[in-house]
Amino acid sequence: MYTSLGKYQPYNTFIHKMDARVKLVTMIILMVSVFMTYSQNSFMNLTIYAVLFLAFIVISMLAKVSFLSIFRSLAAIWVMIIFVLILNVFFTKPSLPEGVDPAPYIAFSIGALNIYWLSIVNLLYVIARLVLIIMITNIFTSSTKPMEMTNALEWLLWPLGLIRIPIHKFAMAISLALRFIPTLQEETDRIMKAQASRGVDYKQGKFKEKVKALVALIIPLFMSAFTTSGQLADAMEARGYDPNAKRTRYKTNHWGLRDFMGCLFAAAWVAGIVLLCVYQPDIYAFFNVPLPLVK
Amino acid sequence: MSIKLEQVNYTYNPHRPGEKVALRDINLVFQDHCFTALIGRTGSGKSTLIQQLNGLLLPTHGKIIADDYVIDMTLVYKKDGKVDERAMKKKHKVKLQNIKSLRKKVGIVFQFPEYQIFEESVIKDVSYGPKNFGKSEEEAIKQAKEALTLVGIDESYYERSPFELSGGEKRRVAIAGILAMEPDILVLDEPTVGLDAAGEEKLMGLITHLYEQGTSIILATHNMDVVLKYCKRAIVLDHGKIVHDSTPLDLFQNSEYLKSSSLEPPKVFRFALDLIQGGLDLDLSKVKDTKTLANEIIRVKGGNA
Repeated sequence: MYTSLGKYQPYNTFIHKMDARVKLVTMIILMVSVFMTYSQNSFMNLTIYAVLFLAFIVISMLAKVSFLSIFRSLAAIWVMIIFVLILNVFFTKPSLPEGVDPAPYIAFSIGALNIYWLSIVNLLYVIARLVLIIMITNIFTSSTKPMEMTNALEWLLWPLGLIRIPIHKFAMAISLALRFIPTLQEETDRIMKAQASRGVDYKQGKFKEKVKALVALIIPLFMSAFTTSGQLADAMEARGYDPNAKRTRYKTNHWGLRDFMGCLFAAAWVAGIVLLCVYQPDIYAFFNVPLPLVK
Repeated sequence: MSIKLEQVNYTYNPHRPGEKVALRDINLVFQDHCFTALIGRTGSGKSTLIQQLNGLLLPTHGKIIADDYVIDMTLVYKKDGKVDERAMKKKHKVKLQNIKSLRKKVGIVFQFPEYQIFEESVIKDVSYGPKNFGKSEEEAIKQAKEALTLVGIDESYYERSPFELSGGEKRRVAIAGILAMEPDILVLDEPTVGLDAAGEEKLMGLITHLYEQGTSIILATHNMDVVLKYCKRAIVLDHGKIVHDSTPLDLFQNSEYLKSSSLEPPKVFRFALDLIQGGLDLDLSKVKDTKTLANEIIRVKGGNA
Protein backbone atom coordinates (compact mmCIF):
# COMPACT_ATOMS: atom_id res chain seq x y z
CA MET A 1 0.00 0.00 0.00
CA TYR A 2 1.33 3.38 -0.89
CA THR A 3 0.03 6.81 -0.07
CA SER A 4 -2.28 7.70 -2.87
CA LEU A 5 -2.15 11.22 -4.17
CA GLY A 6 -4.29 13.73 -2.39
CA LYS A 7 -5.82 11.38 0.15
CA TYR A 8 -6.58 13.12 3.42
CA GLN A 9 -3.79 12.62 5.92
CA PRO A 10 -4.93 13.13 9.50
CA TYR A 11 -2.08 15.26 10.79
CA ASN A 12 -2.53 18.22 13.06
CA THR A 13 -0.65 21.09 11.45
CA PHE A 14 -1.94 24.66 11.38
CA ILE A 15 -2.71 24.19 7.70
CA HIS A 16 -4.96 21.27 8.61
CA LYS A 17 -6.72 23.36 11.20
CA MET A 18 -7.18 26.35 8.94
CA ASP A 19 -10.67 27.17 7.69
CA ALA A 20 -11.33 25.23 4.50
CA ARG A 21 -12.78 28.31 2.81
CA VAL A 22 -9.54 30.21 3.32
CA LYS A 23 -7.64 27.25 1.97
CA LEU A 24 -9.93 26.90 -1.05
CA VAL A 25 -9.62 30.55 -2.02
CA THR A 26 -5.87 30.51 -1.44
CA MET A 27 -5.60 27.41 -3.57
CA ILE A 28 -7.45 29.10 -6.41
CA ILE A 29 -5.17 32.14 -6.15
CA LEU A 30 -2.09 29.91 -6.17
CA MET A 31 -3.42 28.13 -9.25
CA VAL A 32 -4.00 31.40 -11.05
CA SER A 33 -0.45 32.40 -10.24
CA VAL A 34 0.78 29.24 -11.95
CA PHE A 35 -0.91 30.15 -15.23
CA MET A 36 0.14 33.81 -15.39
CA THR A 37 2.70 35.11 -17.83
CA TYR A 38 5.03 37.31 -15.87
CA SER A 39 7.44 38.37 -18.53
CA GLN A 40 8.00 38.47 -22.25
CA ASN A 41 11.13 36.49 -21.58
CA SER A 42 10.23 32.79 -21.33
CA PHE A 43 13.31 32.04 -19.29
CA MET A 44 12.31 34.64 -16.73
CA ASN A 45 8.91 32.95 -16.50
CA LEU A 46 10.52 29.57 -15.95
CA THR A 47 12.68 31.13 -13.26
CA ILE A 48 9.57 32.41 -11.52
CA TYR A 49 8.06 28.93 -11.76
CA ALA A 50 11.15 27.59 -10.05
CA VAL A 51 10.60 30.12 -7.25
CA LEU A 52 6.96 29.03 -7.02
CA PHE A 53 8.12 25.43 -6.85
CA LEU A 54 10.33 26.25 -3.86
CA ALA A 55 7.49 28.13 -2.18
CA PHE A 56 5.11 25.20 -2.67
CA ILE A 57 7.69 22.82 -1.28
CA VAL A 58 7.83 24.94 1.86
CA ILE A 59 4.04 24.87 2.14
CA SER A 60 4.00 21.11 1.53
CA MET A 61 6.49 20.66 4.32
CA LEU A 62 4.39 22.78 6.66
CA ALA A 63 1.34 20.64 5.84
CA LYS A 64 3.38 17.41 6.15
CA VAL A 65 2.49 16.35 2.62
CA SER A 66 4.70 13.56 1.38
CA PHE A 67 6.83 14.57 -1.59
CA LEU A 68 7.07 11.00 -2.66
CA SER A 69 3.41 10.93 -3.55
CA ILE A 70 3.92 13.98 -5.79
CA PHE A 71 6.67 12.29 -7.73
CA ARG A 72 4.72 9.06 -7.86
CA SER A 73 1.83 10.88 -9.43
CA LEU A 74 4.23 12.37 -11.97
CA ALA A 75 5.41 8.88 -12.75
CA ALA A 76 1.78 8.04 -13.38
CA ILE A 77 1.36 10.76 -16.02
CA TRP A 78 4.63 10.08 -17.85
CA VAL A 79 2.63 8.87 -20.85
CA MET A 80 1.13 12.31 -21.15
CA ILE A 81 4.51 13.99 -20.76
CA ILE A 82 5.96 11.86 -23.54
CA PHE A 83 2.97 12.70 -25.71
CA VAL A 84 3.52 16.41 -25.13
CA LEU A 85 7.21 15.94 -25.81
CA ILE A 86 6.57 14.30 -29.17
CA LEU A 87 3.98 16.88 -30.19
CA ASN A 88 6.34 19.69 -29.30
CA VAL A 89 9.32 18.26 -31.05
CA PHE A 90 7.50 17.61 -34.31
CA PHE A 91 5.00 20.38 -34.57
CA THR A 92 6.35 23.54 -32.94
CA LYS A 93 8.43 25.74 -35.13
CA PRO A 94 9.25 29.35 -34.47
CA SER A 95 7.34 31.61 -36.88
CA LEU A 96 10.25 33.41 -38.42
CA PRO A 97 9.99 36.09 -41.07
CA GLU A 98 11.34 34.97 -44.41
CA GLY A 99 14.99 35.23 -45.04
CA VAL A 100 15.96 34.96 -41.39
CA ASP A 101 18.53 32.30 -40.64
CA PRO A 102 16.89 29.71 -38.31
CA ALA A 103 20.24 28.47 -37.01
CA PRO A 104 20.35 30.46 -33.74
CA TYR A 105 16.84 29.18 -32.87
CA ILE A 106 17.88 25.56 -33.08
CA ALA A 107 19.04 23.90 -29.89
CA PHE A 108 20.35 20.80 -31.58
CA SER A 109 19.60 18.53 -34.47
CA ILE A 110 19.01 14.83 -34.67
CA GLY A 111 19.75 13.99 -38.27
CA ALA A 112 17.34 16.05 -40.35
CA LEU A 113 15.16 16.85 -37.37
CA ASN A 114 15.74 20.26 -35.85
CA ILE A 115 14.89 20.68 -32.21
CA TYR A 116 14.16 24.34 -31.53
CA TRP A 117 14.68 26.11 -28.25
CA LEU A 118 11.01 26.99 -28.46
CA SER A 119 9.99 23.33 -28.22
CA ILE A 120 12.15 22.81 -25.19
CA VAL A 121 10.80 25.89 -23.47
CA ASN A 122 7.23 24.88 -24.26
CA LEU A 123 7.80 21.43 -22.86
CA LEU A 124 9.29 22.88 -19.69
CA TYR A 125 6.23 25.13 -19.39
CA VAL A 126 3.85 22.19 -19.54
CA ILE A 127 5.80 20.09 -17.09
CA ALA A 128 6.33 22.98 -14.68
CA ARG A 129 2.64 23.87 -14.68
CA LEU A 130 1.56 20.26 -14.22
CA VAL A 131 3.92 19.75 -11.31
CA LEU A 132 2.88 23.00 -9.65
CA ILE A 133 -0.84 22.32 -10.05
CA ILE A 134 -0.46 18.81 -8.68
CA MET A 135 1.47 20.16 -5.73
CA ILE A 136 -1.19 22.72 -4.86
CA THR A 137 -4.15 20.38 -5.12
CA ASN A 138 -2.19 17.79 -3.21
CA ILE A 139 -1.60 20.20 -0.34
CA PHE A 140 -5.27 21.15 -0.29
CA THR A 141 -6.77 17.68 -0.49
CA SER A 142 -4.38 16.02 1.91
CA SER A 143 -4.88 18.67 4.56
CA THR A 144 -8.66 19.13 4.26
CA LYS A 145 -11.35 16.65 5.20
CA PRO A 146 -13.73 15.92 2.30
CA MET A 147 -16.67 17.24 4.32
CA GLU A 148 -14.93 20.54 4.99
CA MET A 149 -14.08 20.69 1.32
CA THR A 150 -17.72 20.41 0.27
CA ASN A 151 -18.76 22.98 2.84
CA ALA A 152 -16.16 25.36 1.50
CA LEU A 153 -17.33 24.70 -2.04
CA GLU A 154 -20.93 25.32 -1.04
CA TRP A 155 -19.91 28.60 0.54
CA LEU A 156 -17.98 29.60 -2.56
CA LEU A 157 -20.95 28.90 -4.80
CA TRP A 158 -23.47 30.99 -2.85
CA PRO A 159 -23.97 33.51 -5.68
CA LEU A 160 -25.61 30.70 -7.67
CA GLY A 161 -28.27 30.59 -4.99
CA LEU A 162 -29.34 34.07 -6.08
CA ILE A 163 -30.45 32.68 -9.43
CA ARG A 164 -32.34 29.90 -7.64
CA ILE A 165 -29.94 27.09 -8.18
CA PRO A 166 -30.32 24.74 -5.17
CA ILE A 167 -26.68 24.70 -4.08
CA HIS A 168 -27.22 22.86 -0.82
CA LYS A 169 -28.87 19.99 -2.66
CA PHE A 170 -25.77 19.73 -4.80
CA ALA A 171 -23.59 20.08 -1.75
CA MET A 172 -25.54 17.30 -0.05
CA ALA A 173 -25.15 15.09 -3.12
CA ILE A 174 -21.43 15.76 -3.22
CA SER A 175 -20.94 15.14 0.47
CA LEU A 176 -22.93 11.92 0.28
CA ALA A 177 -20.86 10.80 -2.68
CA LEU A 178 -17.70 11.59 -0.74
CA ARG A 179 -19.09 9.90 2.33
CA PHE A 180 -19.62 6.74 0.29
CA ILE A 181 -16.11 6.49 -1.09
CA PRO A 182 -14.63 4.80 1.98
CA THR A 183 -17.73 2.62 2.34
CA LEU A 184 -17.44 1.44 -1.23
CA GLN A 185 -13.72 0.89 -0.79
CA GLU A 186 -14.36 -1.30 2.23
CA GLU A 187 -17.07 -3.12 0.36
CA THR A 188 -14.82 -3.67 -2.66
CA ASP A 189 -12.11 -4.97 -0.40
CA ARG A 190 -14.52 -7.35 1.28
CA ILE A 191 -15.98 -8.71 -1.96
CA MET A 192 -12.52 -9.06 -3.49
CA LYS A 193 -11.44 -11.13 -0.54
CA ALA A 194 -14.56 -13.27 -0.70
CA GLN A 195 -14.04 -13.91 -4.42
CA ALA A 196 -10.32 -14.47 -3.92
CA SER A 197 -11.28 -17.24 -1.52
CA ARG A 198 -13.31 -18.70 -4.36
CA GLY A 199 -10.21 -18.87 -6.51
CA VAL A 200 -10.24 -15.56 -8.35
CA ASP A 201 -6.80 -14.09 -8.65
CA TYR A 202 -7.02 -10.30 -8.80
CA LYS A 203 -3.33 -9.69 -8.26
CA GLN A 204 -1.79 -12.17 -10.65
CA GLY A 205 -3.34 -14.04 -13.50
CA LYS A 206 -3.81 -13.09 -17.11
CA PHE A 207 -5.46 -9.93 -18.34
CA LYS A 208 -8.44 -11.81 -19.76
CA GLU A 209 -9.00 -13.60 -16.47
CA LYS A 210 -8.83 -10.31 -14.61
CA VAL A 211 -11.48 -8.75 -16.84
CA LYS A 212 -13.74 -11.74 -16.25
CA ALA A 213 -13.06 -11.53 -12.54
CA LEU A 214 -14.18 -7.92 -12.60
CA VAL A 215 -17.76 -9.03 -13.24
CA ALA A 216 -17.67 -11.02 -10.01
CA LEU A 217 -16.66 -7.82 -8.26
CA ILE A 218 -18.88 -5.23 -9.90
CA ILE A 219 -22.25 -6.98 -9.64
CA PRO A 220 -22.11 -7.58 -5.88
CA LEU A 221 -20.72 -4.07 -5.45
CA PHE A 222 -23.68 -2.56 -7.29
CA MET A 223 -26.12 -4.71 -5.37
CA SER A 224 -24.75 -3.55 -2.05
CA ALA A 225 -24.44 0.07 -3.19
CA PHE A 226 -28.13 0.11 -4.11
CA THR A 227 -29.08 -1.47 -0.81
CA THR A 228 -26.95 0.89 1.26
CA SER A 229 -28.14 3.99 -0.56
CA GLY A 230 -31.76 2.95 -0.07
CA GLN A 231 -31.12 2.37 3.61
CA LEU A 232 -29.37 5.71 3.90
CA ALA A 233 -32.27 7.51 2.26
CA ASP A 234 -34.66 5.86 4.73
CA ALA A 235 -32.43 6.75 7.66
CA MET A 236 -32.23 10.37 6.52
CA GLU A 237 -35.99 10.63 6.13
CA ALA A 238 -36.52 8.97 9.48
CA ARG A 239 -34.42 11.70 11.02
CA GLY A 240 -36.46 14.36 9.30
CA TYR A 241 -34.32 15.34 6.36
CA ASP A 242 -36.19 17.69 4.03
CA PRO A 243 -34.25 18.72 0.93
CA ASN A 244 -36.18 21.97 0.67
CA ALA A 245 -35.77 23.12 4.24
CA LYS A 246 -33.34 25.82 5.19
CA ARG A 247 -30.09 24.29 6.33
CA THR A 248 -28.19 25.03 9.47
CA ARG A 249 -24.68 23.97 10.31
CA TYR A 250 -23.66 21.52 12.97
CA LYS A 251 -20.06 22.62 12.85
CA THR A 252 -19.35 26.30 12.93
CA ASN A 253 -15.89 27.52 12.20
CA HIS A 254 -14.12 29.62 14.73
CA TRP A 255 -12.19 32.27 12.95
CA GLY A 256 -8.70 32.25 14.41
CA LEU A 257 -5.33 33.81 13.97
CA ARG A 258 -4.25 31.14 11.53
CA ASP A 259 -7.20 31.89 9.26
CA PHE A 260 -6.32 35.56 9.35
CA MET A 261 -2.72 34.64 8.49
CA GLY A 262 -4.00 32.54 5.63
CA CYS A 263 -5.97 35.48 4.24
CA LEU A 264 -2.96 37.72 4.67
CA PHE A 265 -0.83 35.21 2.81
CA ALA A 266 -3.36 35.04 -0.03
CA ALA A 267 -3.54 38.84 -0.22
CA ALA A 268 0.23 39.13 -0.25
CA TRP A 269 0.37 36.52 -3.00
CA VAL A 270 -2.12 38.44 -5.12
CA ALA A 271 -0.13 41.63 -4.57
CA GLY A 272 3.00 39.76 -5.62
CA ILE A 273 1.39 38.52 -8.84
CA VAL A 274 0.09 41.97 -9.73
CA LEU A 275 3.47 43.58 -9.05
CA LEU A 276 5.28 41.02 -11.15
CA CYS A 277 2.79 41.43 -13.99
CA VAL A 278 2.99 45.20 -13.94
CA TYR A 279 6.76 45.58 -13.70
CA GLN A 280 7.64 42.47 -15.71
CA PRO A 281 11.11 42.24 -14.22
CA ASP A 282 13.73 40.51 -16.28
CA ILE A 283 16.87 39.69 -14.36
CA TYR A 284 18.43 38.13 -17.44
CA ALA A 285 18.19 41.39 -19.37
CA PHE A 286 19.29 43.34 -16.30
CA PHE A 287 22.47 41.34 -15.89
CA ASN A 288 22.90 40.93 -19.65
CA VAL A 289 22.86 37.15 -19.47
CA PRO A 290 23.02 35.73 -22.99
CA LEU A 291 20.05 33.45 -23.67
CA PRO A 292 19.17 31.23 -26.59
CA LEU A 293 16.65 32.71 -28.99
CA VAL A 294 13.03 31.76 -28.47
CA LYS A 295 10.36 33.10 -30.74
CA MET B 1 -4.12 -30.84 6.68
CA SER B 2 -2.80 -28.79 9.55
CA ILE B 3 -1.85 -25.11 9.69
CA LYS B 4 0.93 -23.80 11.83
CA LEU B 5 1.45 -20.14 12.64
CA GLU B 6 4.84 -19.06 13.97
CA GLN B 7 5.35 -15.63 15.52
CA VAL B 8 2.75 -14.13 13.23
CA ASN B 9 2.31 -10.37 13.49
CA TYR B 10 0.04 -8.19 11.47
CA THR B 11 -0.19 -4.41 11.36
CA TYR B 12 -2.67 -2.39 9.32
CA ASN B 13 -1.16 0.74 7.70
CA PRO B 14 2.36 0.24 9.04
CA HIS B 15 4.42 3.42 9.60
CA ARG B 16 1.49 5.67 8.67
CA PRO B 17 -1.22 7.57 10.48
CA GLY B 18 -3.94 5.10 11.36
CA GLU B 19 -1.39 2.38 12.09
CA LYS B 20 -3.04 -0.47 13.97
CA VAL B 21 -1.50 -3.61 15.32
CA ALA B 22 -4.00 -6.42 14.81
CA LEU B 23 -1.99 -9.53 15.64
CA ARG B 24 0.93 -9.87 18.04
CA ASP B 25 3.21 -12.89 18.10
CA ILE B 26 0.61 -15.51 17.34
CA ASN B 27 1.89 -19.05 17.78
CA LEU B 28 -0.76 -21.55 16.98
CA VAL B 29 -1.31 -24.96 15.44
CA PHE B 30 -4.59 -26.01 13.90
CA GLN B 31 -4.35 -29.79 13.89
CA ASP B 32 -5.74 -31.95 11.16
CA HIS B 33 -9.44 -32.60 11.71
CA CYS B 34 -10.03 -30.02 14.40
CA PHE B 35 -13.19 -28.20 15.45
CA THR B 36 -11.90 -24.94 16.83
CA ALA B 37 -13.67 -21.80 17.97
CA LEU B 38 -12.00 -18.39 17.83
CA ILE B 39 -13.54 -16.12 20.44
CA GLY B 40 -12.94 -12.47 21.12
CA ARG B 41 -14.45 -9.04 21.19
CA THR B 42 -14.91 -7.05 18.00
CA GLY B 43 -11.50 -5.75 17.02
CA SER B 44 -9.64 -8.48 18.87
CA GLY B 45 -8.08 -9.76 15.66
CA LYS B 46 -10.29 -12.73 14.82
CA SER B 47 -11.01 -11.72 11.25
CA THR B 48 -7.41 -10.72 10.65
CA LEU B 49 -6.24 -14.09 11.90
CA ILE B 50 -8.70 -15.88 9.66
CA GLN B 51 -7.45 -14.03 6.60
CA GLN B 52 -3.89 -15.13 7.32
CA LEU B 53 -4.92 -18.74 6.90
CA ASN B 54 -5.35 -18.63 3.12
CA GLY B 55 -3.00 -15.82 2.25
CA LEU B 56 -5.56 -13.04 1.80
CA LEU B 57 -3.46 -11.04 4.22
CA LEU B 58 0.23 -11.72 4.55
CA PRO B 59 1.82 -11.47 7.97
CA THR B 60 3.77 -8.25 8.51
CA HIS B 61 6.28 -10.68 9.89
CA GLY B 62 6.05 -14.30 10.88
CA LYS B 63 5.64 -17.64 9.22
CA ILE B 64 2.66 -19.71 8.17
CA ILE B 65 3.05 -23.35 7.31
CA ALA B 66 0.06 -25.10 5.78
CA ASP B 67 1.30 -28.60 5.03
CA ASP B 68 3.68 -28.03 2.13
CA TYR B 69 2.65 -24.43 1.47
CA VAL B 70 4.85 -22.01 3.37
CA ILE B 71 4.46 -18.26 3.65
CA ASP B 72 7.75 -17.11 5.09
CA MET B 73 7.83 -13.53 6.31
CA THR B 74 10.20 -14.12 9.21
CA LEU B 75 12.14 -11.05 10.24
CA VAL B 76 15.45 -10.39 8.57
CA TYR B 77 18.11 -8.78 10.73
CA LYS B 78 21.03 -6.65 9.72
CA LYS B 79 24.47 -7.26 11.17
CA ASP B 80 23.93 -4.73 13.94
CA GLY B 81 20.86 -6.59 15.14
CA LYS B 82 18.28 -4.17 13.75
CA VAL B 83 15.46 -5.26 11.50
CA ASP B 84 16.38 -4.99 7.84
CA GLU B 85 13.35 -3.04 6.58
CA ARG B 86 14.48 -3.17 3.00
CA ALA B 87 14.78 -6.93 2.95
CA MET B 88 11.33 -7.19 4.55
CA LYS B 89 9.85 -4.94 1.87
CA LYS B 90 11.44 -7.10 -0.77
CA LYS B 91 9.96 -10.20 0.82
CA HIS B 92 6.50 -8.67 0.72
CA LYS B 93 6.89 -7.75 -2.93
CA VAL B 94 7.64 -11.27 -4.09
CA LYS B 95 4.52 -12.70 -5.66
CA LEU B 96 3.15 -15.77 -3.97
CA GLN B 97 3.51 -18.76 -6.20
CA ASN B 98 0.43 -20.82 -6.77
CA ILE B 99 -1.59 -19.25 -3.97
CA LYS B 100 -4.66 -20.90 -5.47
CA SER B 101 -3.49 -24.29 -4.26
CA LEU B 102 -3.67 -22.95 -0.71
CA ARG B 103 -7.02 -21.25 -1.23
CA LYS B 104 -8.50 -24.43 -2.61
CA LYS B 105 -7.61 -26.26 0.58
CA VAL B 106 -8.64 -23.51 3.00
CA GLY B 107 -12.15 -22.30 2.25
CA ILE B 108 -13.25 -19.15 4.03
CA VAL B 109 -16.88 -18.26 4.51
CA PHE B 110 -16.95 -14.59 5.40
CA GLN B 111 -19.42 -12.80 7.58
CA PHE B 112 -22.58 -12.15 5.56
CA PRO B 113 -21.33 -14.34 2.69
CA GLU B 114 -24.43 -13.50 0.62
CA TYR B 115 -22.48 -10.48 -0.64
CA GLN B 116 -20.28 -12.69 -2.80
CA ILE B 117 -23.18 -13.89 -4.98
CA PHE B 118 -23.17 -12.51 -8.50
CA GLU B 119 -24.14 -15.07 -11.13
CA GLU B 120 -27.51 -15.23 -12.81
CA SER B 121 -28.49 -18.64 -11.50
CA VAL B 122 -27.89 -20.49 -8.26
CA ILE B 123 -26.13 -23.43 -9.87
CA LYS B 124 -23.81 -21.16 -11.85
CA ASP B 125 -22.85 -19.20 -8.78
CA VAL B 126 -22.06 -22.27 -6.73
CA SER B 127 -20.02 -23.85 -9.53
CA TYR B 128 -17.96 -20.66 -9.92
CA GLY B 129 -15.45 -21.70 -7.24
CA PRO B 130 -14.65 -25.20 -8.56
CA LYS B 131 -14.33 -23.79 -12.09
CA ASN B 132 -11.79 -21.26 -10.86
CA PHE B 133 -9.79 -24.08 -9.38
CA GLY B 134 -9.55 -25.77 -12.75
CA LYS B 135 -12.45 -28.20 -12.69
CA SER B 136 -14.27 -28.91 -15.92
CA GLU B 137 -17.79 -27.61 -16.46
CA GLU B 138 -19.47 -30.96 -15.70
CA GLU B 139 -17.33 -31.68 -12.68
CA ALA B 140 -17.99 -28.19 -11.31
CA ILE B 141 -21.75 -28.63 -11.77
CA LYS B 142 -21.60 -32.01 -10.10
CA GLN B 143 -19.74 -30.61 -7.10
CA ALA B 144 -22.13 -27.68 -6.97
CA LYS B 145 -25.11 -30.01 -6.88
CA GLU B 146 -23.55 -32.00 -4.05
CA ALA B 147 -22.84 -28.83 -2.08
CA LEU B 148 -26.36 -27.50 -2.64
CA THR B 149 -27.84 -30.80 -1.47
CA LEU B 150 -25.69 -30.56 1.66
CA VAL B 151 -27.02 -27.12 2.54
CA GLY B 152 -30.57 -28.24 1.78
CA ILE B 153 -31.27 -26.34 -1.44
CA ASP B 154 -33.20 -28.61 -3.76
CA GLU B 155 -33.26 -28.93 -7.53
CA SER B 156 -36.15 -26.50 -8.05
CA TYR B 157 -33.82 -23.66 -7.05
CA TYR B 158 -30.96 -24.45 -9.45
CA GLU B 159 -32.04 -22.22 -12.31
CA ARG B 160 -33.48 -19.41 -10.21
CA SER B 161 -31.71 -16.10 -9.78
CA PRO B 162 -29.94 -16.07 -6.43
CA PHE B 163 -30.97 -12.45 -5.91
CA GLU B 164 -34.64 -13.31 -5.55
CA LEU B 165 -34.05 -15.80 -2.73
CA SER B 166 -34.73 -15.04 0.93
CA GLY B 167 -31.87 -13.97 3.22
CA GLY B 168 -31.43 -17.41 4.78
CA GLU B 169 -31.49 -19.16 1.41
CA LYS B 170 -28.96 -16.71 0.01
CA ARG B 171 -26.62 -17.46 2.86
CA ARG B 172 -26.95 -21.19 2.28
CA VAL B 173 -26.23 -20.74 -1.43
CA ALA B 174 -23.18 -18.65 -0.57
CA ILE B 175 -21.91 -21.27 1.85
CA ALA B 176 -22.51 -23.93 -0.79
CA GLY B 177 -20.29 -21.81 -3.04
CA ILE B 178 -17.40 -22.49 -0.69
CA LEU B 179 -18.34 -26.12 0.06
CA ALA B 180 -18.36 -26.88 -3.66
CA MET B 181 -14.61 -26.24 -3.65
CA GLU B 182 -14.33 -29.21 -1.28
CA PRO B 183 -11.84 -27.55 1.06
CA ASP B 184 -9.84 -29.52 3.64
CA ILE B 185 -10.31 -26.76 6.17
CA LEU B 186 -13.50 -24.76 6.39
CA VAL B 187 -13.16 -21.41 8.10
CA LEU B 188 -16.35 -19.56 9.01
CA ASP B 189 -16.58 -16.00 10.28
CA GLU B 190 -19.69 -15.50 12.42
CA PRO B 191 -21.79 -17.89 10.34
CA THR B 192 -24.83 -17.76 12.63
CA VAL B 193 -25.21 -13.99 12.84
CA GLY B 194 -28.60 -12.86 11.59
CA LEU B 195 -30.12 -16.33 11.48
CA ASP B 196 -33.09 -17.41 13.57
CA ALA B 197 -32.84 -20.27 16.05
CA ALA B 198 -33.99 -22.89 13.55
CA GLY B 199 -31.62 -21.60 10.89
CA GLU B 200 -28.76 -21.61 13.37
CA GLU B 201 -29.45 -25.19 14.40
CA LYS B 202 -29.62 -26.30 10.79
CA LEU B 203 -26.40 -24.57 9.84
CA MET B 204 -24.51 -25.93 12.84
CA GLY B 205 -25.92 -29.37 12.05
CA LEU B 206 -24.45 -29.05 8.56
CA ILE B 207 -21.08 -27.94 9.92
CA THR B 208 -21.00 -30.84 12.37
CA HIS B 209 -21.84 -33.20 9.52
CA LEU B 210 -18.93 -31.83 7.49
CA TYR B 211 -16.65 -32.22 10.51
CA GLU B 212 -17.69 -35.84 10.91
CA GLN B 213 -16.89 -36.43 7.26
CA GLY B 214 -13.33 -35.29 7.88
CA THR B 215 -13.27 -31.54 7.21
CA SER B 216 -11.46 -29.39 9.77
CA ILE B 217 -13.60 -26.56 11.07
CA ILE B 218 -12.43 -23.19 12.36
CA LEU B 219 -15.19 -20.96 13.62
CA ALA B 220 -15.00 -17.33 14.67
CA THR B 221 -17.99 -16.57 16.82
CA HIS B 222 -19.55 -14.59 19.64
CA ASN B 223 -22.12 -17.27 20.23
CA MET B 224 -21.07 -19.16 23.37
CA ASP B 225 -23.90 -21.66 23.08
CA VAL B 226 -22.43 -22.78 19.79
CA VAL B 227 -18.94 -22.95 21.29
CA LEU B 228 -20.12 -25.12 24.18
CA LYS B 229 -22.31 -27.41 22.12
CA TYR B 230 -20.17 -28.09 19.09
CA CYS B 231 -16.53 -27.04 19.45
CA LYS B 232 -13.68 -29.16 20.71
CA ARG B 233 -11.25 -26.34 21.32
CA ALA B 234 -11.71 -22.69 22.19
CA ILE B 235 -9.10 -20.01 21.55
CA VAL B 236 -9.66 -16.56 23.02
CA LEU B 237 -8.08 -13.53 21.39
CA ASP B 238 -7.73 -10.16 23.01
CA HIS B 239 -5.98 -7.18 21.45
CA GLY B 240 -4.34 -9.41 18.89
CA LYS B 241 -2.94 -11.87 21.42
CA ILE B 242 -3.96 -15.38 22.33
CA VAL B 243 -5.01 -15.16 25.95
CA HIS B 244 -6.62 -18.54 26.38
CA ASP B 245 -6.44 -21.88 24.60
CA SER B 246 -8.27 -24.90 25.98
CA THR B 247 -11.43 -26.95 25.65
CA PRO B 248 -14.67 -24.98 25.93
CA LEU B 249 -15.36 -26.74 29.23
CA ASP B 250 -12.10 -25.49 30.77
CA LEU B 251 -12.76 -22.02 29.44
CA PHE B 252 -16.23 -21.74 30.92
CA GLN B 253 -15.18 -23.26 34.22
CA ASN B 254 -12.49 -20.64 34.56
CA SER B 255 -15.00 -18.06 35.70
CA GLU B 256 -12.43 -15.61 37.09
CA TYR B 257 -10.86 -15.33 33.70
CA LEU B 258 -14.21 -14.99 31.97
CA LYS B 259 -15.23 -12.07 34.17
CA SER B 260 -12.08 -10.14 33.43
CA SER B 261 -12.49 -10.57 29.70
CA SER B 262 -16.22 -9.74 29.60
CA LEU B 263 -17.16 -13.12 28.17
CA GLU B 264 -20.21 -14.88 29.53
CA PRO B 265 -20.62 -18.63 29.71
CA PRO B 266 -23.79 -19.90 28.05
CA LYS B 267 -26.97 -19.83 30.13
CA VAL B 268 -27.21 -23.63 30.14
CA PHE B 269 -23.75 -23.84 31.60
CA ARG B 270 -24.47 -21.27 34.31
CA PHE B 271 -27.64 -23.09 35.18
CA ALA B 272 -25.71 -26.33 35.51
CA LEU B 273 -23.16 -24.59 37.76
CA ASP B 274 -25.99 -23.32 39.95
CA LEU B 275 -27.44 -26.82 40.16
CA ILE B 276 -24.07 -28.18 41.25
CA GLN B 277 -23.82 -25.49 43.91
CA GLY B 278 -27.30 -26.50 45.01
CA GLY B 279 -26.05 -30.00 45.64
CA LEU B 280 -26.63 -31.92 42.41
CA ASP B 281 -23.65 -33.98 41.34
CA LEU B 282 -23.67 -33.24 37.59
CA ASP B 283 -20.93 -34.17 35.18
CA LEU B 284 -20.20 -30.84 33.54
CA SER B 285 -18.36 -32.38 30.61
CA LYS B 286 -21.63 -33.96 29.48
CA VAL B 287 -23.61 -30.73 29.53
CA LYS B 288 -23.77 -29.32 26.00
CA ASP B 289 -27.26 -27.87 25.68
CA THR B 290 -30.67 -28.04 27.33
CA LYS B 291 -31.29 -31.61 26.26
CA THR B 292 -28.02 -33.01 27.57
CA LEU B 293 -28.49 -31.03 30.76
CA ALA B 294 -31.91 -32.60 31.23
CA ASN B 295 -30.39 -36.03 30.66
CA GLU B 296 -27.75 -35.34 33.29
CA ILE B 297 -30.34 -34.25 35.82
CA ILE B 298 -32.35 -37.40 35.14
CA ARG B 299 -29.22 -39.52 35.51
CA VAL B 300 -28.30 -37.96 38.85
CA LYS B 301 -31.84 -38.15 40.12
CA GLY B 302 -31.88 -41.80 39.15
CA GLY B 303 -34.84 -41.58 36.82
CA ASN B 304 -35.21 -43.14 33.42
CA ALA B 305 -34.39 -41.04 30.42
